[in-house]
Amino acid sequence: MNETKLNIIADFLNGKLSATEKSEFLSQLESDTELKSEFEKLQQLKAIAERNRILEEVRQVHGQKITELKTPKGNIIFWPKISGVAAAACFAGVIYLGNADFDSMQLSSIERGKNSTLTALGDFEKGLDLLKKHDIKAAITFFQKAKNNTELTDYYRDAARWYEVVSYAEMDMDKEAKTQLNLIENSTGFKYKIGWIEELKMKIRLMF
Amino acid sequence: MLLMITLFGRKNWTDEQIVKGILGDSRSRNEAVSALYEQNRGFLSKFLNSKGGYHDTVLRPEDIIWESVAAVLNNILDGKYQPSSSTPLSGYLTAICRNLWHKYLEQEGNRQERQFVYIDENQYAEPDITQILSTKQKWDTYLEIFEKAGKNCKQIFTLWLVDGMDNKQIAEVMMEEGKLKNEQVVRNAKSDCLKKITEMLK
Repeated sequence: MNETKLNIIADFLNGKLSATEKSEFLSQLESDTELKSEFEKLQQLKAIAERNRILEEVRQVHGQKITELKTPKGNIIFWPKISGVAAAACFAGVIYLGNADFDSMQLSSIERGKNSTLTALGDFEKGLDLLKKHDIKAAITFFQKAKNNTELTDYYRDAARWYEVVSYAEMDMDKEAKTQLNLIENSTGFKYKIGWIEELKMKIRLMF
Repeated sequence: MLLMITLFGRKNWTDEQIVKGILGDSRSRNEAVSALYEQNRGFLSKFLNSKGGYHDTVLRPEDIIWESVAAVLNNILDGKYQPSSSTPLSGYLTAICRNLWHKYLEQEGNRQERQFVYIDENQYAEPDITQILSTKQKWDTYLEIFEKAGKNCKQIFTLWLVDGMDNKQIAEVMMEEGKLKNEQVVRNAKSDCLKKITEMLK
């Protein structure tokens, strides 16, 4: 059989013939026994070549898998997976911290100091109480009063500043919270000790 | 979901998913085959290790595993395997591995070892693999003939009949690899290869 005819068969098998060429080829195939015989041969050869390619590709997967199976599992350190898990843990941590509640202050008699009057402290405590009850708008008013009250020690006034930031954050008033937090960070001799986790939570909260 | 798959890998492929993957494109096929190994990790590891002591044999356990995987693959590609709960894919794979290993040892004349392994492993009911082995034999013969045609013939047939390239394109590929000199040589080689393989396939 001449090469042109063989190429037509190959083109048919590869779906490269137009609709007209295809129908012409199929009608020839019915009447031409030689063409039919060659078609069957090429069809079989194509199937073998295709299968050979598939098996060559899959053999590579086999090679990789056998190497894995022969390697004790405990010795395999799959860094992409480990770093992926670490990234996921960080991500989960950020989400958690970004949504976590802030700790409420535990007042003690030592912290109250000598020169704080009960009335002045009352404003601060009222603010904390309102914050716990999620009456945040009212809490802010009391923290503002407390932070400006000179009868209170610096410790409580600074604590009131921090809880004012917390209250703004709770109300999603990020701009105000950021401004007040910046002031705290830039002030020297800030007396109230903000826990590092609390500060981290706040920064993450204000990031989003 | 995508994040979970990326981080922890795809787990627990069903037989249906593996069959679908094998019948799909090259990428999905490789993933499905990989899943088939994972699905049978326990058995394959044991097979590799327990048969690892047969250093004097020509075929190694990994060769038997490959032949078994290829047999399963050929059956799926020929549409002869239909997933069902009564005949799980893993059951077929393990049965073929054992069967081929026993046959091989029998050929090697190591009957004593064969009997020992058989008794040890034949405590489980295994699926009928006659069909799979018959398909395997057919493809083994075809692929052996294809192999015998030679590297250049194999490449010409693949580029021509699988990739759908014409003589000019085939010549470009093979000239670049320094295998053939020009289009006319490709044309002649194609004709010779076709004659050769047709004769062998008769």
